[in-house]
Amino acid sequence: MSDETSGAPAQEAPGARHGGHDGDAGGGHGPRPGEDFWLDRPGSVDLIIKLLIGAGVAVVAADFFYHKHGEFHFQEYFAFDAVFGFAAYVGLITAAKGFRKIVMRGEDYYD
Amino acid sequence: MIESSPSLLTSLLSLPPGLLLVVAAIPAVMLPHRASQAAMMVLPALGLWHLASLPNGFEHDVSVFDLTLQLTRIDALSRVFGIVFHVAAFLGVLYAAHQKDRLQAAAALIYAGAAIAAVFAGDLVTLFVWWELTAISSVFLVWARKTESALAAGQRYLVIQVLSGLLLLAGTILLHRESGSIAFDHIGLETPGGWLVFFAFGIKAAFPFLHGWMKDAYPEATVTGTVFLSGFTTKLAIYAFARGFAGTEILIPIGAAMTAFPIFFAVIENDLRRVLSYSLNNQLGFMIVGVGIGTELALNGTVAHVFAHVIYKALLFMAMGAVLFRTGTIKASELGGLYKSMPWTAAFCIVGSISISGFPLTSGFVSKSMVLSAAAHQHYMWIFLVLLFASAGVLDHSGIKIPFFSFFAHDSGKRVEEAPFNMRLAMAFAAAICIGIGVFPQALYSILPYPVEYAPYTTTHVFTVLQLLIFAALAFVFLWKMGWYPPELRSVVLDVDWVWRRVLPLAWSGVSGVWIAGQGVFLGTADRLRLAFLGFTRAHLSPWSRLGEPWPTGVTAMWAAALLAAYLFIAY
Repeated sequence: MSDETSGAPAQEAPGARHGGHDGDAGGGHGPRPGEDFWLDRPGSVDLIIKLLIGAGVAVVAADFFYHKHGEFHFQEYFAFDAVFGFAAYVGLITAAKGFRKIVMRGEDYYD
Repeated sequence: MIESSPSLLTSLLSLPPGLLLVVAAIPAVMLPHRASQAAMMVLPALGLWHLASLPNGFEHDVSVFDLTLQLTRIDALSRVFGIVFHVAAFLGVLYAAHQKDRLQAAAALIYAGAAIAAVFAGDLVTLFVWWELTAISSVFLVWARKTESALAAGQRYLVIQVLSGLLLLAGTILLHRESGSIAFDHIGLETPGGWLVFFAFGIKAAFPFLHGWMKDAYPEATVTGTVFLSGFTTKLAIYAFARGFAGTEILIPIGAAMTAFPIFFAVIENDLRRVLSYSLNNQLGFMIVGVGIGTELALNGTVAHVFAHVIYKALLFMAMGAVLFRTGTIKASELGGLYKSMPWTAAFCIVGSISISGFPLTSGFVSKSMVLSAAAHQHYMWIFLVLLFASAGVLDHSGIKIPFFSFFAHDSGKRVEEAPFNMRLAMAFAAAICIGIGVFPQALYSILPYPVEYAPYTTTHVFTVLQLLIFAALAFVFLWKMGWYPPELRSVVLDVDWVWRRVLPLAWSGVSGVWIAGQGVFLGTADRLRLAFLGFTRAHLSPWSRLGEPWPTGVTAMWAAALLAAYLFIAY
């Protein structure tokens, strides 16, 4: 392992190199020869996504099998939290992308 | 001789827990490295033992001049904060055990000790002393980074923190004049003094528009310093609100705003420790809402959330600190794929992420939901919906963004060593506490200030939370697959600190520019007037001018005679 840390500072004082660090310092992107990680194999990520979708289907299907208790009537709607969670997330990210146009500046803005 | 005197021991034990850390910090760091690390880990344990030895209701007063100061006051509320602060101090010391920076180690211990002693202060003057000591000691954790930007950020941090202390002192003086008391009990907003104290606390609790210091300074601190910083200052402020302003309704919308607005910044921020600072701000919002609602369930929820939050937030800062320590950067745009070389750190980080997101069987699930339930019980519908929205936001920035962009996403090609053993051990302890509280919530509930009748693991609660979180995660997958998730870009994001880092300096240079120009015009005009006056007098009064030249004696005598004649005429 240690022969692969060529560009990345293994034991360096962390404060010494604020900024200016080049993302390629490790010597290239992506998996390296000889590495075999499960996540790098084709289909692994798709499997995780399928599992996540399966879990989503399961927790929504659960709504058929019990009576929901909520302080507000909308909390008892079918799949309320699923729809709210999805919509809130997409709304947040979309709004933040627009927000970025106003407040984002170059990295050396304050220098 | 000291040991043989029980009365001395008793009087020492009546001093506030936390004081030990403050006074023992400098001797402890002067020891050789290993002995020093051992001593620093024993100190929080001793402090915890000290706290355990004092019963609820214990008070210790001293008289200073005309004032009676209550140095120590133990009750159910202060005790929980004392416990979690000791745990955080221990975790921080363990996480920093590889480090040989004595100044930083001493500052961290004094800072932790001051925060602990502050929650046991029974009066506002004692609180003020510890309040300011947390400010002064903690800035060294920023300065210890020794970069120019850390130095500047530390200075800005210190100014704002000390300002908070001065507001507290001014408020205390006003309250003393109004009521004759400096006791730190319910304060409320009925008097001007109450408002000043409210703002003093509000600065430290990072209220909207007063929050700039935190996102500015925390990410500039050292790898280990940020872990300490994340634990104490803001939670001390939450304690102070719970003590002085419980049930103050204006806190509800303020807290709701705090849960919502930082998450937009967190989505687009590139510095992952800054993302965590925004996330911290968002978590404080849940606590402030709880204090504002002020029912027993809400206050229990706030305190439980403080406990859970201190641990998982420390864990997340530890994981990101380990990444910074090993790779030299914490910018999302330069990271990715680190699970290959830092698998332990990645795993601990994920535990922190699911805990802050509030997945079942983690600490966030059993604490945050108490605040949401309290809001629902009091029928604050909009507040409830904002908190629910913010919960989905937490899943984005802390649940997904933090672990995803550092340990997964696009492989940056970085291959580094795993975090040092002591760091991994500290993360393991923190992760164990996160899971432990989630699995055995009664352990946490049993130390809350009020009796708990709340059951977190109901069918409705488990499935609604899972729906919210899983579908928010699916939304991330959807956006990522479509290429709509905003890429991590090397950038800075403007926030309120822009006002004092850009606008005020510009305004000041504008004001001084106008001043200098005005000064130039004024002086120029004055000089021209002076020259004109000089020219006039030269022209008419100099020895060569009409008035100034010597007059003949006869003419002078004639004028004198005319003057006398005129005088005689007037006299008659």
